[in-house]
Amino acid sequence: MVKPEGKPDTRETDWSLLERVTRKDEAALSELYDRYCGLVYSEVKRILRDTGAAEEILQDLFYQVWRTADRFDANRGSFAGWVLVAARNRAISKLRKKGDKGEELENDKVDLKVNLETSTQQSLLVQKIRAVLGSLPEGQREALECAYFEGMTHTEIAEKTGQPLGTVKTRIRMAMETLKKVLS
Amino acid sequence: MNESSHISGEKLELYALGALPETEASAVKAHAAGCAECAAKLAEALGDVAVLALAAEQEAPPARVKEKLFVRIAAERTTGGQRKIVGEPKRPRPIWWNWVLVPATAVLAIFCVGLYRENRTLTGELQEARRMAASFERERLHVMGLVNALSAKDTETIRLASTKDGFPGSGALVRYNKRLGKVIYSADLPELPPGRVYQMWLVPTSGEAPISAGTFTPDGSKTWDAQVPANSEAKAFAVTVEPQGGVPKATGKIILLGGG
Repeated sequence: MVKPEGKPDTRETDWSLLERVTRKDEAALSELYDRYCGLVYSEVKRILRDTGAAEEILQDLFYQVWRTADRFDANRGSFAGWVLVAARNRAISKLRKKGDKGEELENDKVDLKVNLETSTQQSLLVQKIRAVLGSLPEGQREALECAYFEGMTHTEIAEKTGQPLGTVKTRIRMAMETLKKVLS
Repeated sequence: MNESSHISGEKLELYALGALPETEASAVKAHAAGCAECAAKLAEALGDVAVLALAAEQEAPPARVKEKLFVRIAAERTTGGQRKIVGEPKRPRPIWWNWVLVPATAVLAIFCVGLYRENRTLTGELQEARRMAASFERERLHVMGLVNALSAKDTETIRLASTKDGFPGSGALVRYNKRLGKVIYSADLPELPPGRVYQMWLVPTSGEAPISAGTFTPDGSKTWDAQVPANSEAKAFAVTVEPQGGVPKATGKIILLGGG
């Protein structure tokens, strides 16, 4: 990220905005929404391939933030991480017509190693993640995408690709190792 | 499972990806709930997996989603303040009281609606101003990044020329700063049919797969820029024709090529 030298970043952190949301400050919710709506919408749309459903999940998620902002705190990890995980779980639950899986995971702590609070940081990471996925061997990328964007279990991926279960697990592990190496 | 037999990192990642069957996922969740070490590793795994969301084609949602969200919130505020007092005995109200109460309530309601509308207008204007300020700031940072890259001494200039599969006379100029991972380019290429775009690629010297440096559609004197992983050693830059939105791996023939 290119940052002007000598000028401190005066943007409010996610946690500071959330704290304002607990006091029912609509401008703070608006700022949080603007920060993450693109990432959430794109993620859900990719999973469901349905514009209407993606809009619905995006709206519901931020309505939940508005209503339950007081339940968030820094001990639960990153807000950006939470919002991405929660959006995915809701989308996968809808895709697989399950009612409870998403809700279960939404209480989990999510430690995101990257900062996504500015659009510049987001675009840099988008490029980075795409470059990593683009550089993975086909089988590894397919296994990762089947799991993440299609909500398939390793057994289902093995059935779909005709590969042994052990191979699928190895591919996912190797792909995750590459991803983590780049992120670190 | 107990604390002496922690869950493997591989299993935690499969759980975070949602790739474990339900019985195994429940066992992982139950163990992590009682084991601080595995819970911390699970939080990390969830974070590592969450960034995969950014692999999706990025698109802004329609403005109506935000409008609906705030209408929903406003509706909640309007109805949320109403409270019923139960158990209080009703006392008969004198009839003359209605002659005062009804017009007063009507006037008050009109006044409240006016205030509410004004508040909505002002809030909307404030939000718009914040959005514009944020947009200007993003643009400023973006332009500064380009200026820094273009003025850096270690920025290379690479000319791309048409290949036998390309368009005769076409070409592109790429400025590449390896240290910053910044690629800035302009191109002289003909228009493509609908649904097709040009895609720029950095071909690494390592022999690994080309790295995408974005898609583009020629439009007068426009320049494009892209971020690739910093310190990517470039053997060459190439342009292919791909479906709208671009592809993670080049599928089209190389129409422009240039570089070391």
